[in-house]
Amino acid sequence: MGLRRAGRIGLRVLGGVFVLWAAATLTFFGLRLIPGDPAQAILGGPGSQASAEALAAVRAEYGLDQSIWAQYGLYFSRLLGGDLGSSYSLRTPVSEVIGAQIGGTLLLAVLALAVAWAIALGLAVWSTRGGRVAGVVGSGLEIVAAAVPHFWLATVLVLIFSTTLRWLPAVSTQGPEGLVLPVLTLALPLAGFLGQVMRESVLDALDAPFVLSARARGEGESGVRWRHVLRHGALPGIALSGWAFGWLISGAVVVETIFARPGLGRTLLNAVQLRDVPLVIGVVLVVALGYVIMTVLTDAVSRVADPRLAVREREQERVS
Amino acid sequence: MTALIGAEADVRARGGDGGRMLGAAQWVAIAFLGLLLVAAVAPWLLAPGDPLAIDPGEAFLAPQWGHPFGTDESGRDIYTRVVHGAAPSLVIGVAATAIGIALALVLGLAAALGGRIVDFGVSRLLEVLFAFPGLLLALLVITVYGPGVVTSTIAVGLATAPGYARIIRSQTRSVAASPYVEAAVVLGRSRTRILSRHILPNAVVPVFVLVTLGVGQAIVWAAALSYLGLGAEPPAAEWGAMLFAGKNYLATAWWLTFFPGLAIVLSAAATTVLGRALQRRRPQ
Amino acid sequence: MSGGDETTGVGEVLVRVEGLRVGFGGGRSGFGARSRASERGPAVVDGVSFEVRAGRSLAIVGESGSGKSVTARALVGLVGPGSWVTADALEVDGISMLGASAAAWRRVRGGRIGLVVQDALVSLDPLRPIGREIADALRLHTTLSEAGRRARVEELLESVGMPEPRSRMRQRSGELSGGLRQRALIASALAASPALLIADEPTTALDSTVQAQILGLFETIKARGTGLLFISHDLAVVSRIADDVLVMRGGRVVEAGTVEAVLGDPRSSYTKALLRAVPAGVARGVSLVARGGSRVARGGSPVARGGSSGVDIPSESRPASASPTPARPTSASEGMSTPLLPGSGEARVTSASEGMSTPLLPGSGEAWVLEVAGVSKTFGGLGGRKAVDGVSLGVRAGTTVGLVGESGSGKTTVARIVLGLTAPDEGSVRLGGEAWVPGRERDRRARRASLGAVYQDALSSFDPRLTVQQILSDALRGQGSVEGLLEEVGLEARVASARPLQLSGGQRQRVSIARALAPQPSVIVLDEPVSALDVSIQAQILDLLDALQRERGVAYLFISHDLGVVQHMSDELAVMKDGRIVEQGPAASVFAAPSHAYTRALLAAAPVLRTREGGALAW
Repeated sequence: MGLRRAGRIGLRVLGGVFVLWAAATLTFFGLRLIPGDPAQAILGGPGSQASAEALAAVRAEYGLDQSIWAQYGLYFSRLLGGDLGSSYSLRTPVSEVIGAQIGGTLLLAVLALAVAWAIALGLAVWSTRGGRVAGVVGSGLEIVAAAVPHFWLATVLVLIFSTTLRWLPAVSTQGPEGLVLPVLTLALPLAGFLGQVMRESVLDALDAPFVLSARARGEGESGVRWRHVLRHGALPGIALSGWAFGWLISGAVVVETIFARPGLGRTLLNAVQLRDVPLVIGVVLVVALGYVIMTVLTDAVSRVADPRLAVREREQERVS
Repeated sequence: MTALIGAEADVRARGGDGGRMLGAAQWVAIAFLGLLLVAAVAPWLLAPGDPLAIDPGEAFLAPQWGHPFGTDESGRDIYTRVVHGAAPSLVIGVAATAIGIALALVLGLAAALGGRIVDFGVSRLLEVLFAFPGLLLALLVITVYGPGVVTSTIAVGLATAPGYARIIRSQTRSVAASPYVEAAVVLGRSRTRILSRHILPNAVVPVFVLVTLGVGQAIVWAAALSYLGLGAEPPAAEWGAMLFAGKNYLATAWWLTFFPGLAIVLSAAATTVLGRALQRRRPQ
Repeated sequence: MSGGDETTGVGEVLVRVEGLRVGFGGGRSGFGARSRASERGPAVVDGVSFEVRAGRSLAIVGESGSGKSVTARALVGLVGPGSWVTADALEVDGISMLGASAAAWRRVRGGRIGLVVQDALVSLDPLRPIGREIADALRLHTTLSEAGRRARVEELLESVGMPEPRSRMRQRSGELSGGLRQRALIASALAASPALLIADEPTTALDSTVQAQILGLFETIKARGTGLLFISHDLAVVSRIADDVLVMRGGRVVEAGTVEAVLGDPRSSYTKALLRAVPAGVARGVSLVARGGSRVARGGSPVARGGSSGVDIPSESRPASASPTPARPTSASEGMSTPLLPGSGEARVTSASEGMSTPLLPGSGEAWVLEVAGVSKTFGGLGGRKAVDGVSLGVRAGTTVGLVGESGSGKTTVARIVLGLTAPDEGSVRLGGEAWVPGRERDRRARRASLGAVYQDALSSFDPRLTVQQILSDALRGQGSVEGLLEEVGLEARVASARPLQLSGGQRQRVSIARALAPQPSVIVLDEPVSALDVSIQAQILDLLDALQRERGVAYLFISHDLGVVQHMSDELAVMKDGRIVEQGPAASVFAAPSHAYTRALLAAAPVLRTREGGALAW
């Protein structure tokens, strides 16, 4: 059993490493498709009229004068050493840029995930109590999740809380009050999505024989919800947290731009606009790394929380 | 005496009130999508004016009689622009969804039906693509090909494809492994016959639900790219571009961004409501 | 609140119900509608009255839709959302529960009445240790400290026969076998020492050997003075456990009385029909539906067959010699008066006498339609589980071989190997004397017509998009008419336009049989074909299968966990355990004189319909 579990975890980690390698390779070759001369792009695009010497120097610096495979080898050996190259536009090492920006984005993502979780679980449990309002809220979750984009939600929140009520700043400041609107903007649509999935799971649990069994034991309504249903509602939330993390980082691109907050998302957007390839690669790979770590983690947590997963997996192995 | 025994502790909302409300919501959604279609095909029926007509004297008018949604920085009527923006926004949404679903069908069906090796390859590819969550894949595509309407449409299509592919793969696999497919094998049907009679129809029909849900999503994503300045560009009457142009005036003229945003939200909500309803109606 | 056995004397009335009526809603009428009296739906339980006494057991018997489970749940106020419940009297311990508060009901649940709900396998929270689940009842109904509760849980688990209770109580239900889960569930219902224990189909999902143990446990519980209310569809189980019986149909009580009276001398025609439908102990070829002289007919009523009957039987499927089926007793009394249990074999030998001297193994030059030789299958790669281990058996034309075993014995894997759906690691299968498995599907395809299959879950074996017409014409491939096929399986022609989802369980299984028959196979593999059906529907399907075999001369490989069904259907029998066949031979002789210990255990565990005196049932 222990050996089997260790083997499983090892496989997952190996799979994660593969995904990272493939992601790095895909981005490397994908970005070679950019038309034009990369050295030219580094020096400010076709309009910059850089001198031949300057171009040559840049080519040497980035290894652009070598074969593509040599460049790939160079890129990878540097990558393994933690060297993501230098940003074309900022003229500083990519790892430094990312190091400076990652904290704010992680804070934003973690807070938003926590808020989304709390709202979702609360709504999932409350909206299954019955009654008209709860029912409407329940079925409204999926619409919120699917149809309210960050950019519009941010607009509305700013209109209400900054422009009209003047409670909170429209542009992110250093203090905690500057975090409220960005976190809410990120968290609400995610809460809609998680809430919808958790709600389904809560409803399934309420219909399950073990809940009838608990009621037959004399358990009251709140006992049923706290002791039994809540856990079942939380399970899909755990399983989806890896995905949610990636989704939040992607949302951070929009939210950091709107609220003029420094962070990975805005850095990425600027890099895309300037076609700063090393920086784009760097940020994307860091996000991929975070995604892989989160999925391995949530997978492990899910399996501890729900012993049925392992059984189901074994059955699937047998079928296929 | 017959007495009512009151002990109904568990009252729930699934299928009850919520389901009933959705019945009404579905009709609203269908009506809105109808209106959207009219706006896309014959916008002059709803808004006879010119969406690009400038009138500097009427700039930044708040919503009022004659300009129900107000005017923008150049005095263009926002209502007219929102109506005329339906066509490009819908076209972008539909085109991006078509690209995403087409790619997903190829990948998903190949993985589900192409044998172990193909499945392994496609599944790993999907795993890798999932490591570029949400907009990231789209941003990568735009880095390569530069911003613009066409690029952002393709980018959204590519970015949504892995998710669809995974759904199509698992749907097709479960159909292919279903007892009724086995029953057809036992009856001695050929592989092609089983594929065309049982597997493909049962696996592909749910894709229509995906398409319905997808169009709304694609409109939202494409608008997000436009909002970031990577998609359609002002002064085009496209919702995302209108948002991009209006975001600098958020504090002073909120209607510049609010109404195009509302159009996006309602379109996405309507397709979602309709898609979910279709999904529930499916047997099983 | 604790110690029901101390406070309640034997014979005291624990629960009294009079004129109980239960129904569900008035449909979805308007927003947020709680059903008002004026919009009530029809009653699913209509005027039921009974009482349960301490130390006695009452069994409510009925088929699905009879209202028996709803009745049981009404006693603890848990009928479910959108329901209405009325009664002239509903007393627990002499106290009326009419209009009782939610809190009063919670004190009754678990405290005075324990309920072992249906679906034993999923009735404990899979995310919590079973010890916690059981302790919940103690937390709610006693003042025991946490340590006291833990000690009591251990005691309880021990008393329900849980091995190693101290370590088991930390496990979650997924880590326990079905039998142990049921024991834990019973322990949780008994935890606060309720005076009455209600058990809703407590043995249905269990293997027969485990079922026997659980029934033994209930007898012990009853002996301790607890009253028992037993809900079951299984008359054999009821005859073993109950003192009194209530037969329900369509929400009404059809018959009530002591078990001897109701099962031994039933008054109502419905009870009689139910008893007749039990296949155990009924000789091969005797109709279950219309016993009383006539032979089995297709649709439950005798239907004359058209003149074309002999034509569509493929010549190779007819045994070269003699009649396709052995002579069978046609007199009903012969089969009925015979108890099932060992020691009474001589009355039953008739059904398969030719088979007696011949070993079941192929090779003796007879008309074998199906020969399985030494097949093995291991799942899960190296070190995996050997699901099937050296199984050999043969099916002669026009006869039935029963393959019986408990869950996990490998019988379904054998079926899949025979059908060419799972490739065996070793061994081979021959069909109609020619190589069949292993082989390429492409080569098998043309000969698939001679091998049919009927599955337990008929519904999932039909493409949900297709109508019955499409399903059957697909199977016929132009070789015959859908109407003819439907008529043959006792279905009306208008069924053709329906989708399987719209049909009842029995109708679906008939369509499934029709599909298997369409290519005119010489042998059909039936994998638990009646396990999902009510006993009266089961009887009709078994009768149909029997009639079809006689008319078409088709052979069956009949797979089931149910000894009674297999005994009634089989000429030859193979008993499987852990992937091996432990015993095989003519069905009558295996039942009469089982040679293997496992077969004996299986036979001993099988619930047998009997009255208290152990005598034969007669009516």
